[in-house]
Amino acid sequence: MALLEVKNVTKQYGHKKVMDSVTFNVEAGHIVGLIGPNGAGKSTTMRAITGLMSYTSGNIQFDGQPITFEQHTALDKVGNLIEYPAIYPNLTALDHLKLYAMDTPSPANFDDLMRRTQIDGENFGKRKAKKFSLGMKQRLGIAIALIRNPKMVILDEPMNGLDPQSVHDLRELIRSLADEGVAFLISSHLLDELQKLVDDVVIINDGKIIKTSPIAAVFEHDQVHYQLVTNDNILAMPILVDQGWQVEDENGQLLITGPTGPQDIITVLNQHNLTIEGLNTVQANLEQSLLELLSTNDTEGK
Amino acid sequence: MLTLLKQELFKAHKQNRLWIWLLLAFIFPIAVLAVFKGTRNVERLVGFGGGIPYIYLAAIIYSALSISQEFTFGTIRPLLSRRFNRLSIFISKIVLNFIVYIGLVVSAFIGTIIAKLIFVPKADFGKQMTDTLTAGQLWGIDTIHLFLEIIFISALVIMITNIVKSSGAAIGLGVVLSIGTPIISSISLSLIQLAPILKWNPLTILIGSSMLGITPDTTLNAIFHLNSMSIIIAYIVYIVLFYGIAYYIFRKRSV
Repeated sequence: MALLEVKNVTKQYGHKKVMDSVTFNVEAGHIVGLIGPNGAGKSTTMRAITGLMSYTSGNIQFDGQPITFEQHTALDKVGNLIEYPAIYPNLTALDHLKLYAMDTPSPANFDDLMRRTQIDGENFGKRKAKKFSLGMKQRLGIAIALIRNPKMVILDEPMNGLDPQSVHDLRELIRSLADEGVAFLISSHLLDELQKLVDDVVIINDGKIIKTSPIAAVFEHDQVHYQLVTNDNILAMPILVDQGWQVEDENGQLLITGPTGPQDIITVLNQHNLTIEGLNTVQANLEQSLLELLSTNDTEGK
Repeated sequence: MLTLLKQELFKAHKQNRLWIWLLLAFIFPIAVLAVFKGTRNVERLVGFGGGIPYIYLAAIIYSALSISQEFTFGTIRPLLSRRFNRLSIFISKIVLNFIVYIGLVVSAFIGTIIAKLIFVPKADFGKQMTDTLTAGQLWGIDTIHLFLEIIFISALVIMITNIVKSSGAAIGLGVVLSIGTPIISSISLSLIQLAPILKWNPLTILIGSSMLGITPDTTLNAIFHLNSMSIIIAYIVYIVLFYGIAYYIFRKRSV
């Protein structure tokens, strides 16, 4: 049984559906990316899961227990950081951990948590949170999300304000916790970072789930593109198209999708005595796949 | 509930603002009696050295901010996304407010006693102040009135804060209600003259509650067309109503 089950959840304001039969699961130890454009319903979905917002129909269960606006005892084992860190300006980082640890029987070890989330340095110490930078607040927000030794953590834009090293460290932390069995539901606009981290993706647009799959499956149809420059691109283009490949001219470079490898392209061009001046392999990325999916979804919607 | 209250106390204890208010409540009567020699009498001591408006102000601001600042800081989300229901969270806030009100009055009381010992050691709390009450008894009744009014105005302030989602307007209204007694009395009496049913308006009940125990029923009847028991019942009904509406809005609010 999945740790988190979201089944046919709909949230309606009048005739407007901000969540439309949203359905997906999160398994223990899995890192799931919830992605979509601005206003797609990511934060709304996370708010419904964390009992902050009522929903019109459907049901949400965590560890077999229901989560609704009125009843959410199951949230004891869910940590969250929704949109921005919940910081009291007059408390220090340690004060925050003490405060949020009060309502759990088995909180995380403070020293260990502070070390893992890097809020144990001199920058933190006895300083009050009102003097923290955005990145420091974000790290504290993540520590707060982990204070209850949660079975699942919900993070909305956790990389906001973090420098590249901190983003890398956060990725390592999330991965190590997932290896210990903690599930994550993460939304982020930094899709390249998310791509390196998640096991599964849930793609949402206009309040509807348009794809739920393992991350690898997102790229299975268009895993790789090739950027090609020849001595005569105008001649090369129809030859490549004749192979059944998709070819686009992008600022003097031919972007090719379809060959099984670069050797296919080299063989074909050699047969036509065309000289290759440049050939690069471009790995597919989540951003591109998301854009393609959204574009397909829009077309189908019309 | 105990856990929530412990958390509220922890947050309050870490706020400089609370300690400054408590300290000022303590210093106020001492400072007034030190600076203004004409106030060194038992009448001024009974009024906490003139510190009552300050106690009102601090209590109202604290009440208004108790919930609204959770929204300002963005801490309302982790507060609500836990196993606790919203009623427990709301009650823990109200209980903390009550503790702060008591703290303010106790600080002012200690300050007043110290001011007495320093500046008017011969002041006699056994002195007859009215036909039936000594200074000490009057102080006790005034303190009860102070609590009753703080509770009434704070309940209203918390309701307004929840309705308009802003502490500023609520604090403004609370300040007017707490220090604008002559204006309130005038509005209240005008309303009663306008239509008898308006004797039940909250301003009348607020003014009436401040006269309980020191004004005979015949006088209350003549002014407000209400006796003490009616005022007490209406007072309780209003408190329940204000907190009820505030909680209803708090419970329904998506964050």
